[in-house]
Amino acid sequence: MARTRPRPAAANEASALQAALAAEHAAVYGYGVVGAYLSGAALTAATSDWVAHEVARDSLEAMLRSAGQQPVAAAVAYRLPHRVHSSAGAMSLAVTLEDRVATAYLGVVAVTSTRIREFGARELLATAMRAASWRGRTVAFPGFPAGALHTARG
Amino acid sequence: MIARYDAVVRGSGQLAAVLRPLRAEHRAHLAQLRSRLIVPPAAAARSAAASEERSAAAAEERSAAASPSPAAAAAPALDGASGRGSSDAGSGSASHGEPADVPAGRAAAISFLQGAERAAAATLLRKLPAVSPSLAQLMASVAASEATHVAALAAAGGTA
Repeated sequence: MARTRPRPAAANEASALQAALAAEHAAVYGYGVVGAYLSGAALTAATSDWVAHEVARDSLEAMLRSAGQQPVAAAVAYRLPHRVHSSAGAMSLAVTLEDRVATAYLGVVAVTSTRIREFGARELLATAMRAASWRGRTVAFPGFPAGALHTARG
Repeated sequence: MIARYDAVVRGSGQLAAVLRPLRAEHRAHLAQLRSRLIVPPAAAARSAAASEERSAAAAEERSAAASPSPAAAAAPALDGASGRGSSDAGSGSASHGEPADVPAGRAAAISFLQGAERAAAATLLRKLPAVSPSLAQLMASVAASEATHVAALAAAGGTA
């Protein structure tokens, strides 16, 4: 019986979407920690961002299922990049979460499907906005790890 | 974009401290997009001349940092066009030469920049389907950065 192999492009798309989904799972978990150390307007912002990641997660899961893929499941718990003991630490964690999600969406932007590429670009923009808000400043190349691109100063 | 920022700073020096970091990011965008310029085959024989042009462009950029007025005129087209030479990418009448007149007043000037940022980001996003994966990543990242500039400018006194 002949087996049908998935086309390489589809495999790349699924891989990129799964990576983004894994990052979204981590962000949803991480924002639970972020919110625990915030209050007032910052907590409201964290809650809004948490919901945004849940929505993105659900979108990714739907896209994967429609492509015949089993979405990667969330882990029971995640190791945080650093310990959080304060609101400042919580905001720093939010920045890290958003940066990691942005990097994952850069992978989605690299696929050849126009629809998926545009989805990745939209989500990259959204996560860059959230990161800038938590960071308190903008960066030149959201999603690219620091130093990955030479940045001019002037 | 660089020319627009320069024009606003010329008209309102008080905004310089706010605008300088954003302008620096546009310079970084320009440098990255320029580094990915594709030279058409017909121009290969003129590679030496092209190399000289690039050197000149780089020199222009250096002089722009010191003396902002004339040198950045070419920036909007390159920045928005992502190295593809499209004339619509610089968002509006500033694609060639000096940017459009900056409206008077701090809030209006910031709104002027916000509009330019939005237009530049939208242009980049429209071009995504037609470019290579690596260029798409760069263009999407630049568009995302420009979108964050709109919010940063709002914090500086523009509109949200």
